[in-house]
Amino acid sequence: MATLQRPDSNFDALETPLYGVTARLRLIRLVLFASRGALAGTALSLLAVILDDFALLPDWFSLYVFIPVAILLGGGIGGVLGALKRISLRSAAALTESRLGLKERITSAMEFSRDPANYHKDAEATLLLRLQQEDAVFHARLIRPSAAVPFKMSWETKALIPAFVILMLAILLPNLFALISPRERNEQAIVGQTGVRLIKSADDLEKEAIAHREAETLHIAQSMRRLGQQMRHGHMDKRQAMLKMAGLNKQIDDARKSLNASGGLANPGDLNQAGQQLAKELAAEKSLFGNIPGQNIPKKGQASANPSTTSGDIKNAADSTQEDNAMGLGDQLRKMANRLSTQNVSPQEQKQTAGALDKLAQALQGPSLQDAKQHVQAAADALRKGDKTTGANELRKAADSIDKAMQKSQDAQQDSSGLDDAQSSVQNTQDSMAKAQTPAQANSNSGSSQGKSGQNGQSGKNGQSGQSGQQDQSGQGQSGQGGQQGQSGQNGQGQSGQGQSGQGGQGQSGQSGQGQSGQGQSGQGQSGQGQSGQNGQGSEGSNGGNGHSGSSASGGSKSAGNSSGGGRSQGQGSTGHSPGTQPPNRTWDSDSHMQDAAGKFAIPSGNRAGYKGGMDSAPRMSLPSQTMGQQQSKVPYEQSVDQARRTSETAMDNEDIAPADRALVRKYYDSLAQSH
Amino acid sequence: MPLDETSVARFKEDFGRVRAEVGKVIVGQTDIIDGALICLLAEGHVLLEGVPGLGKTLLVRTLSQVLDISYNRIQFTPDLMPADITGTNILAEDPEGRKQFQFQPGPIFASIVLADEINRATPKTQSAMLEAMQEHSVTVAGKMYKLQEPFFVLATQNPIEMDGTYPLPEAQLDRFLFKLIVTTPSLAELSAILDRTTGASVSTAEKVLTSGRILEMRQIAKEVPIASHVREHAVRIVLATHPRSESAPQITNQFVRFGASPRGAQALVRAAKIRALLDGRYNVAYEDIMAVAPAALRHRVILNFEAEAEGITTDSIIREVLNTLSAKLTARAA
Repeated sequence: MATLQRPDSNFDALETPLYGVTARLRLIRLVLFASRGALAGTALSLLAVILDDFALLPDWFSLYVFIPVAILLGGGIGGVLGALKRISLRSAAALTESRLGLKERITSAMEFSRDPANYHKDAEATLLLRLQQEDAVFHARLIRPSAAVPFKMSWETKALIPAFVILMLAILLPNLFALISPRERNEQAIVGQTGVRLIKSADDLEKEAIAHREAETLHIAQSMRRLGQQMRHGHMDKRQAMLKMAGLNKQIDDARKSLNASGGLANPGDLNQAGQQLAKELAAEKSLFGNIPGQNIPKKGQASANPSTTSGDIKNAADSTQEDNAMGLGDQLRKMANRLSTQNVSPQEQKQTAGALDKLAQALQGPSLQDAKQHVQAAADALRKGDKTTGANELRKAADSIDKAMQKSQDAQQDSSGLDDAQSSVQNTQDSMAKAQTPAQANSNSGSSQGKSGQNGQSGKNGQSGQSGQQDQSGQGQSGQGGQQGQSGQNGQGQSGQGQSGQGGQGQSGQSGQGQSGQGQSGQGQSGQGQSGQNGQGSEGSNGGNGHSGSSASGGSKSAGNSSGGGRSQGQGSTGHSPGTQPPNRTWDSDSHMQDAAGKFAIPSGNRAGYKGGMDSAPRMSLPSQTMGQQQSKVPYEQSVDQARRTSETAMDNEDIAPADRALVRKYYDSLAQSH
Repeated sequence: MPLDETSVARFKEDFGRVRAEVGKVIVGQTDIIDGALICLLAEGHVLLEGVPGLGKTLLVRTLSQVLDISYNRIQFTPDLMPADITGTNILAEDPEGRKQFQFQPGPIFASIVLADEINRATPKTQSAMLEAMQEHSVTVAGKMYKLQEPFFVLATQNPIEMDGTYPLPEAQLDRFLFKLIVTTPSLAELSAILDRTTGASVSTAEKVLTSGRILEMRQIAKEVPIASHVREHAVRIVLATHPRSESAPQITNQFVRFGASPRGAQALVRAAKIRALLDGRYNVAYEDIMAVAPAALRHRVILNFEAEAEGITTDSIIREVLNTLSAKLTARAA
């Protein structure tokens, strides 16, 4: 009988070959996990690229930082996890057996060695266990780790290369030169540059809005930034960009209206209307002014007479009201109050004054003037009762109320200045983009327009008139100088026009024409005579256009608008006319229409900046210059206007003109027709 | 008799010698020969199922010739009585003239018993085999008689002639270690059969193993160690044949009425050990378990009506079970 022998421990002989397998397994697992991590990072990067294409990522997010970080970090984390994952010798043995067909020799031998008590029961069992161990060790020594665990790329590792390629394509394909025509590429670049500028403007505006706590402006700035980002990422072509910017302009307009409605004198014209109403009613009261010799119904701008009476005060108050001069109205009411307090006023005059105050109270309309109205009415009632003291006090209160309303109005106007800046910025950008043929031009135009805008800013409230300055590519024109005060000027521009421009003062409210780089011979603008005329601006043309209007532009609202024509002497000093004073049946010289030397479209005054840009590539167009020139065409004026309107419509249909701008052009023609 | 390395090393050789000798008479059917020999060495019995004329009886007879042990053949018929198998007490007269009952052993008393067409006997007669197969003994008139070792039953049954047959009850089937399906020979095999059997010369097999050596080989086989994870795999296979068990695949749940008994698991391990030795190993591998599983389990799995209606066989159930567990093994190793 065989002796009971325990087999020699060949445990080490079994395990040693497995260490190599384990190390190799660990390395493969590390590569696998790192590949998984890198693949996840690549997928995230791809997602980020897609989101970026749709401008869904925040500003601070940088793709060029995120992509390498995501891939490397994913790979690194995966690698660490793979390295930390424990691999037991038994697992390695099982895998080796499976790969090399060892048929559980190693794992069985390991188990028999580790737990001999269960297996070494008798001599026969021990004999077979020893044989098994020897067999296992023999086979274990033949194990080659490279054969047991060959380096075989997992699908994750293989997928990395296609994933990288897809990522690169996603990044590069939209900008691949070969796939984009030069024209589209150029347009994309322009839109992109404009987008960058818009973002920069939005940043500045936002800072300002935050500093002044202007919520509306802040909102507009954010809209500007979003639009800028979309443009920067090339999500729209030039036409779409123009439309979007026009939409933004409209948004700003709406915001301004909203702001005006919410505070102060909702409509600066309220006082003016009240004044006219008052003057009319006072005129009807012959008795009131009967004791004022030589005076008729006071007219705006005329000096008041007989200021030593309350009736005179009333009249002056009417004047102030007509002029929208709230401060003057307040002063007059205070004077009246003082006079009532300090002088003897006859009962009859008190009654007359009371009557006049009644009318003043009735004339004062609008929510902001309600307090003043009540106090004026109370003063009238008091005077009617003979209570001068109360009447005087009520008048002072009325004056105070008017002052407050005025202050509130000024505050609102200050708030709206931010919106003005925003609109100016958008319009400048829009115009630059419209004009630009190359990305560089988009930038250079920007500089020019901004500079001009600055000039216009000096015109006081005529900030918008600065738009006119944008059009001067040649830098010769001086636009925006003659901004029409009080009429948020919409100055049209002629672009290097030969034609006559600067036909201000034809009673077209708020529309001043400009000739730029005119070849004309000295526009001979005369100082306007008409009231509320507009200023035309002569270009300082290369041929020495005199452009008188440059100086006359500062004429303010009361001074007549001056025009200076460039061009072929047709536009020589058109005289500013006040509305209604133009001679009927005017005709216009078909030769004197505005044409630029390049055959481009010279835009009449009254157009917004963006409009002109859209017309740059338009076919040759002509528009009537409403010059009261010496040469009179035999073509009827209306026909010429209609012809020009049709030509413009055709041109606009062929170009990317924003609807808002189309509306402006049509409005312009409407105004021409109406003025006639 | 003690084991030594030489006897262990000769195991595979002896097995090969028997196979070679049988192969002299039997053409092809190597799986059947191997299966029968495994059953012999694993102390089990084998049920051969096949249509008539495939050489089942010849195989058994040849085996008895190769193994130097006693052989009896019992042709099962419906009128066969249990006593015809086990033997009976007969009235005999001794030399002194006294009459007394004397046990007359039946054909079961042999080392190799061929129960030909076992399903033709009545259940009563079939049951006479139960004790012999399980206990290696018979009891007649209250007296138990041990059967000689090795005791090895090879039963045959015809699957197509069902008239006048009595299908073996599950308890009877469970006593067979393997159920081997004898298939029709291939073209080359059939040609060789014709060549050997229609000529003048008759192939004969020589005796190569004694009963002693068979018992020694049985002992060696029993000592083959099996690791716990391999043993667990055998258990999982058996459990997977049980519907609604944790490891049962869908096909089991759908088509199986009863799974394999613990005897099935025993059969797997015992047969797998011999297969390991035949493969030159001293440990049982998953592969051994799975290789013997169809033969060891196909007659232990009872299908439901749905399976019978859809023509599902136990072999397809076992194949699916093995595939499922094999995939899990591979996944675990990776």
